[in-house]
Amino acid sequence: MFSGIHQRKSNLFIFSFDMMIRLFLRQVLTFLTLLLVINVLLFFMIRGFYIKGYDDVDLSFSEYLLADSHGTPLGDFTEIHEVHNFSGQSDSYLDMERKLKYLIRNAHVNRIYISVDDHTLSPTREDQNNLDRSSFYADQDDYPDYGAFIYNKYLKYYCVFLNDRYSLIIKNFLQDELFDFSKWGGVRSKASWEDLDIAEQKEKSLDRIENYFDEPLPSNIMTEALKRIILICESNDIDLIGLRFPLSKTYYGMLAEESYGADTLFIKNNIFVIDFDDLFLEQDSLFSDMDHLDREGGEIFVDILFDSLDNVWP
Amino acid sequence: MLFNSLDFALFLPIVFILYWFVFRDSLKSQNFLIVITSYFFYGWWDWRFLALIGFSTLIDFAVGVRLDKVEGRFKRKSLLILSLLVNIGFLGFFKYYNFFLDNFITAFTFFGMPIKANSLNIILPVGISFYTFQTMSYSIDVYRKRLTATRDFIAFSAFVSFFPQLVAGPIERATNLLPQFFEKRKFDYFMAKNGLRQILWGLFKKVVIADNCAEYANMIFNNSTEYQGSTLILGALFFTFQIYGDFSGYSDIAIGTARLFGFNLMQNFAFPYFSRDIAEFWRRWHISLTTWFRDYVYIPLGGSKVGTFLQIRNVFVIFIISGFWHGANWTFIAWGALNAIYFIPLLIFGKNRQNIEIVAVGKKLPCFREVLSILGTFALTVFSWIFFRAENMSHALSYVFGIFSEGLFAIPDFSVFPGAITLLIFIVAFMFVEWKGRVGEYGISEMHLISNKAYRWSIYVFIILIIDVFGNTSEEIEFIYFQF
Repeated sequence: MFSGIHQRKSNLFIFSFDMMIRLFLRQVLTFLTLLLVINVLLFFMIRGFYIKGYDDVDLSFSEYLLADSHGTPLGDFTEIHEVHNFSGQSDSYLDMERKLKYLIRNAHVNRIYISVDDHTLSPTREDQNNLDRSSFYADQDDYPDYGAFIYNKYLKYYCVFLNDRYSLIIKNFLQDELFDFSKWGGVRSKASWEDLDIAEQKEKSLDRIENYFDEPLPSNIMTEALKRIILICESNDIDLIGLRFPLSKTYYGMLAEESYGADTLFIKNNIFVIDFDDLFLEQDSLFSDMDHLDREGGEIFVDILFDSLDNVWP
Repeated sequence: MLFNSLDFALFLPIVFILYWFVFRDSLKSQNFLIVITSYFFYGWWDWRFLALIGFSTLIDFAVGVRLDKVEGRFKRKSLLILSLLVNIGFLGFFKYYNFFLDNFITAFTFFGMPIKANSLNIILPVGISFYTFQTMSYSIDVYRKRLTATRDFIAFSAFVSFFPQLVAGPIERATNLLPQFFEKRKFDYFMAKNGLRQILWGLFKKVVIADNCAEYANMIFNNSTEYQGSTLILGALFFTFQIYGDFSGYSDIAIGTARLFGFNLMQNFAFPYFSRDIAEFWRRWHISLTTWFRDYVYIPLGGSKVGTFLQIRNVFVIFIISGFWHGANWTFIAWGALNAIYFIPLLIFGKNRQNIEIVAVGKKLPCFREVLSILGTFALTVFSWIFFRAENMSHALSYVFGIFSEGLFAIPDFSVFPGAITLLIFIVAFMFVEWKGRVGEYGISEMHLISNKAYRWSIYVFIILIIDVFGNTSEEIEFIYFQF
C-alpha cells in the first residue's frame, strides 16, 4: 500500500516536472523564434544600407579592378573598357584576396588591376577592413578551421546579433542621425574639396596622414596578404597590374615620402605599376576629398587609365 | 569563460539540458555534473589553477570531517588554523607576496638599510579571493558547530566550485548553499524564468552600462593630468557606474544562472546608490562580502558590543581588511579607510541603523530630505571610488587635486568623448528602471507582474536590442572583480 502511494506521488512529480520544463522550453523556443524573425528583419535592413552591392559581382568579365574606396568613384565606367570594378570601400588586401580566390573559383580571370597606394599596407587597415562583408566570398581555406568558417561565413554574416560591425553601424546611425538634433529637418551638403581653403585642406590631410601613417612599419598581415595575391595570380596565370590613384595637390605635398611601399613590393617582383598619383594636381574640382576622386573625376580617370594602358600594354 | 561570451552562451544550454534531462534522476550525478562542468568552466581560463581549487576543497573537506570527530578545544583550534593557514596562505602568496616584498624593500631603504630581493612574476588565479573565503566560512562554521560537516565529497566540491558564483561571488555561506546540494532538485518554471530575466538584466548592466563607462573612465583616469576638474568628476562618475554595472551585473548573471539549476544564491546588491547614508550603502553593496566580514571578523572582535574606542577600532579593522581584500595596493587600503571615516560619525551618534528599509517605500518619489541624503551619500561614494580606481596613491591624490582646479565649474568638452552623451542618457534610464524596481531583488524583477505578455516580451526584446546595438562587445571585457 505504501509503495503504491509512493508510486503515485512519484508519478505526480514526474508529471509536474515534465509539464513545467516543457512549458519553459516552449516559452524559450517561442522567444528565440521571435528573435530570429527580428534578426531577419534587421539583416534586410543592414543589407539595404551597409552590405548594399558588396555581395554583387558580375562573373562574366575576365578583367577586374580590386581596390579600396579609391576605386569606388570609378563606378561602372570601367565596364566600357571590359573591366569589372570589384572595389569596396575600406577593402584590405585580405578582402581582395578572398575576392580574387572567389573570382578564380567562379569566373575566367585574365587580368587583375589592384591598388598599391601608399596607405594600403598601413596597420590601420588591419582594423578598418571589410572582413565581415567579404566573408561572403570566403571559402573554407580562408579560415583556420571548419568551426571558424561556419561561424564567420554564415553565423556572423547572417546573424545581426553576432556581428559587432552590424551593431556598430546601427549604433552610429542612431547616434549620428537620430540623436544629433542639428541634422533634423534639412538636407545636408558636404563642402567639396575645391571649396575648402588651404588651411582646411591641410587640416583634413593631416588627419588622414595621422590615421594611416601613425606606425613606422607596414602591417605584416597586409604585406603577407599582398604577397599571397601575387603568388595566386602567378600560379593561375593572371596578369597583375598595380595602380596608384590620383591625389589632390595639398595632400600630395604633405604626404611627401610617407609610404608603406606596396608599389615597391610589386616592382621588386617585376610587376607592372602605373603611377597616377600626380595626375590631377591642379584639378581639385575632380576630388571629393584629399585622396578620393568624385564621380566626374572617376569617369575622366578611367579614360586616361585605360588609354595609357592601351599604349603600354595593348 | 566569461558570462558575456559566445562560449558561455553555448556552455549554459548544454549544461542545462544535461542537468535536467540526462542526470535528473540522481542527486549525486547532478552534483557530479556540477563539479565537472564547474572545473571545465574554470579551466577555460587556466587549467593549471584547477589544482589549487582541488587542494583547497580537499583540505577544507578533511578539516571539516576531523572537526566533527575531534572534541578537544586545542585540537579543534589547530584544525581550524590549518584550514585558515592553507587558504590565507594561498591568498597571501598569489595576491600579496609582491606587495609585502616591495613595501619591505621600501621601508628598509627608507631607514638606510637597502636590501635586494626579487619580486616574483606571479599570476593571480581568477576568483581566488572568492572561493577561499567561501571555504573558510565552511571551516569556521563547522568549528563553531553551526554546521555539521558533510561526508559527501562530491557535494562539497560542488559547493566550492559551483560555476555561476565561482570566480566573482556572491561569496556563499555553507549554511545557505551547502544544504541545497542535498535537496532533490525540482525544476521550477517561475524560478527559471526569473533566472533568465535576471541574467538579461545583468548582461545589460555589464555590456551596456559598465563596459561603455569603462571606455571613458579609462580614458579620463589614464590621462587625468590633461583634463580639467569637471571632466575628472565625469571620469569618477563613469567609474562609479562602471563598477556598479560590472559587479552587480556579474552577480545578477550568477544568481540568475544558479536559478536555472534550482539554486538560490544570496542577494549581493540591493540598489546601493539609493542609500541615504554610508551605513546603508554598506548594507546594500557587495552584501556577501560585507556580511562575511561582519560575521567572521567584526563580531569576533566585539562588534558594537564594546566601548566606543574599540568600536571605532573594529570599524577601521573591518574596512581596511575589506579594502585590502580587493587588492594589494595602498589605494584599496585608503579606500577602505575613507569609508571607515565616513562610517564612524554614524556609529558614534548611533545613526548607523536608521535607514534599514529601501528609500521611499510605497511612494513614487523620495522627499526632499531623502533626495539630499541620497545625493550626499552618492557624492561621498564617488569620491572614494577615485582611490579605488587610481593606479597608486600619488595618482589618486593628483586626481583629487585636479578636480579642484580652475575648470571645476566648466562644462566638460564632450566632443572628445564621442558617444558619451548617449551613454549618460542610458545611465539615467538605467537608474530610472532601478528606482522603479527598487523594492524587488533587481531592476526588472517585478516585470512578471505585467500581465500583458506581448508588452512584457517587447520590453525583453528591446533590452536585447539595446545590448546588441549599444553594448560594448567589440572585445569581451573581463569583469573587474575577477582581479580580486
